[in-house]
Amino acid sequence: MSGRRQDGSRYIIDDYREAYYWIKQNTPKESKIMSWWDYGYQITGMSNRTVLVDNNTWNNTHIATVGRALASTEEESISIARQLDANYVLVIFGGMSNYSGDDISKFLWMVRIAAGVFPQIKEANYYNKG
Amino acid sequence: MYRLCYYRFGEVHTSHKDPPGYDSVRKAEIGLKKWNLKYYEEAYTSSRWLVRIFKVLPETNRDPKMLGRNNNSKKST
Repeated sequence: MSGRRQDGSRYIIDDYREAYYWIKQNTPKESKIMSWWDYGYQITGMSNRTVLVDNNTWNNTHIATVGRALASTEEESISIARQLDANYVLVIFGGMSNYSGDDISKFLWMVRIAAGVFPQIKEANYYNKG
Repeated sequence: MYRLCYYRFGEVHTSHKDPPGYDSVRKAEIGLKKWNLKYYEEAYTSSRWLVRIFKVLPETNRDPKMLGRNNNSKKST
């Protein structure tokens, strides 16, 4: 992934490749990885690991369950992660490198998709007052 | 997910003019700077922090609630 600085010079962020390679080299072959579905095919393709949800989005319940885990507190999310038999959780965070298309930007979609299957998840609960 | 994304972020500066824990996308400083993870363990963070991977820790063998009972049974023997 590349971008331009304010002075017009080019920079390259190689973090995705770096991380997928790390998974391939450092995790047991049978590891299962939980992340938002967007990165599913990248992980299976580049890391050769099993993911819980991927870009084949036919199983909406699965995606909603992962969305629910990502939209829950640590206590609640761990029970979902263990129930799904996940070994690792992968998140994309752009706050350090000024990358706006990260998981925090996608957060409301996780809530919305989770709410479509789990009525106890209510989008309004995730809004700030005012 | 927020707890994982921002884990240890309060320790670092995104730029020299901003306070530690300053999210350059949201243009805001995080409120809580330090916390411990109880059920996850940081396994990997890429050089620009874009990808963060956490290990799902296994359930502990002993339920803390059971510890008291074990002590009682010791007393009775």
